[in-house]
Amino acid sequence: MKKIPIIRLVDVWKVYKMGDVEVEALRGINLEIYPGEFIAIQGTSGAGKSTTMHIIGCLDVPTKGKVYLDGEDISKLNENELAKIRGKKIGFVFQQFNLVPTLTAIENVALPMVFQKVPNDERLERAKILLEKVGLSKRKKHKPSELSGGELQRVAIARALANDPKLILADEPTGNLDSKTGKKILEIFTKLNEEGKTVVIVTHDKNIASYAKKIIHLKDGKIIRR
Amino acid sequence: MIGEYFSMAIRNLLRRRLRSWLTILGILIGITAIVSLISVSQGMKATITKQFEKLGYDKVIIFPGKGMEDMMAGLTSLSEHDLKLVRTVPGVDLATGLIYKIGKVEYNNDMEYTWVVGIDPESGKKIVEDIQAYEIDKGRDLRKGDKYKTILGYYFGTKDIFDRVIKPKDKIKIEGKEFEVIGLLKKIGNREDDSTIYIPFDIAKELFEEGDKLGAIYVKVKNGFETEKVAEKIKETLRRDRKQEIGEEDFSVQTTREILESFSSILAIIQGVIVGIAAISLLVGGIGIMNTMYTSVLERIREIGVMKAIGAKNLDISLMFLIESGLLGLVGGGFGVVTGVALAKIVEQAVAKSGVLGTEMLKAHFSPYLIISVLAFSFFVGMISGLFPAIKAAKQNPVDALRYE
Repeated sequence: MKKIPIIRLVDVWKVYKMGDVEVEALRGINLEIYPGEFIAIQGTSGAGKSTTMHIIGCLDVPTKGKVYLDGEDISKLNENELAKIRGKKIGFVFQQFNLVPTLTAIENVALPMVFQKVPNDERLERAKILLEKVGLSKRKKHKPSELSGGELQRVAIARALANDPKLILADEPTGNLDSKTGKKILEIFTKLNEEGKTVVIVTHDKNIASYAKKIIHLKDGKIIRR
Repeated sequence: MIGEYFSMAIRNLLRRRLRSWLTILGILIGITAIVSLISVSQGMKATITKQFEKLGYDKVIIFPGKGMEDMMAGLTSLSEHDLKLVRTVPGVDLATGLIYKIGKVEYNNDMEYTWVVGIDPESGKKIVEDIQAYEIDKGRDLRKGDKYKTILGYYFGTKDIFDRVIKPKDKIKIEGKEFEVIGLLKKIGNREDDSTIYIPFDIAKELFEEGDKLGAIYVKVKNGFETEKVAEKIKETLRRDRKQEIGEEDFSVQTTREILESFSSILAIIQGVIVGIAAISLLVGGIGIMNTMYTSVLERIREIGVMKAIGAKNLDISLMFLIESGLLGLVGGGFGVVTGVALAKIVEQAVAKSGVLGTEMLKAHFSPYLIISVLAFSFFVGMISGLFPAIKAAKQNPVDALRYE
């Protein structure tokens, strides 16, 4: 039986209008991501990495082309329908960590479950398990301002896992960390992939990309090498 | 889930404590004004209603001219002839004439001008007692046959009017004639009534050279008769006697209920104007909330982007902001109720101390209905003020919001 890709991009174009000028951020991307893969999308600044990530992550829809998630066409869905899919199927990890400053570590991890209407007890129980998984069970009551960069990113990873998504999307996850801490974070992603999660890391750094099993090179909005 | 949003909203408000308090202050001032003004005027209304209930709805008062103001101005278009006519109207139980005059009062080389009322101890002092709500405190009441005897209002028994307290058996001069004080009244509760002097009707007539002119006629309606209908009959009788057309009358007939209603409608107008002014300050407070919320949305665009990325729908985002602005309103409302009640109490005490209106007139009235509706309203004002900022927040495109620096 042929495996269905989690995400399939078919001739995806993304064109932004900046004043009178049209900027083609993506120019006909074709890409398939299968369950259990560990992929790095590598490219220089302006190559279209972030735009690709936004489309894979259902944060944005293409100007032209199709996007299939679990075989379902999502390129025409509206904002709220996309939000629903993001909440359930995708976990995000950002370069700037992007935790909610007023919430404690455990509350940050539980937040995606709030949007999925998971009952309170269940939320906190699961958030606790996830923090243990990333080795932060002792810091669960701390606010983001009281945590180090590496700790913040581990909380963010735990948050990305909250609704048990199929796909983890990380945008330069080590960009704000020193190399030693960055390595540890990347090891967490490797471990998650070994446990069966599909991981996509977007980066400009080929050392980081080397952790992935497959590297996709982007240049000027096109895939130049797989 | 809503519980989570409340807890997050509270934390966000606490994150920018000073700004939140300043915003709350705007609402607080508006609500303070509304609560204190409404409770004071409600209290006034309650007191007036109570006083009218005490005097009963079976009374009719006939004033010269357009009403009470013309009587006070000294207009005298009523006479003893009218009194006799009124007594013939079916349903009239008792009717009595009164003389109202400002008189010169002297005591202990001191002089004051005050209301002097001539009442007939015989022809219906009972009604006058009810209408004027007077009760003897010290000494005795006027009796048939009393000549130069007088009953004094409450303040004459204090050092409020003259330097010395007046007691029964003291002598005072009214319009140059000596009178013996035979009684002092209990406090009625308004300055004017509590410094009025009562003398026998015949003596007043002589003293003020009034002839057969009357200041007012008081009527008590018989049991089983409708006060309004009897009043209508009295009006008709007097009009026919004077050969006047409807609308041309130089007198007016009012039932106690009508007088209460006119008081109430004046009070309602005053209340409306005052609350309208207070509402303007509430509007300003609401604009303050809107300003704060817009700033808050701008500061948290990135946070909004993150929330959307991790699955928040537009409704979730707008709810978070709406709850936050609603809470600003509600907290402002809560404190506003407290300061409003305090302010009303201060006004009440100040007025009582100054004695302008007497203690009875001003008892601030705080109904739970008022407090609950004010709290609900302030939450509502907060939500409405936060509506546009919340929509702005919800409409953020997640990609742009995540990129926002």
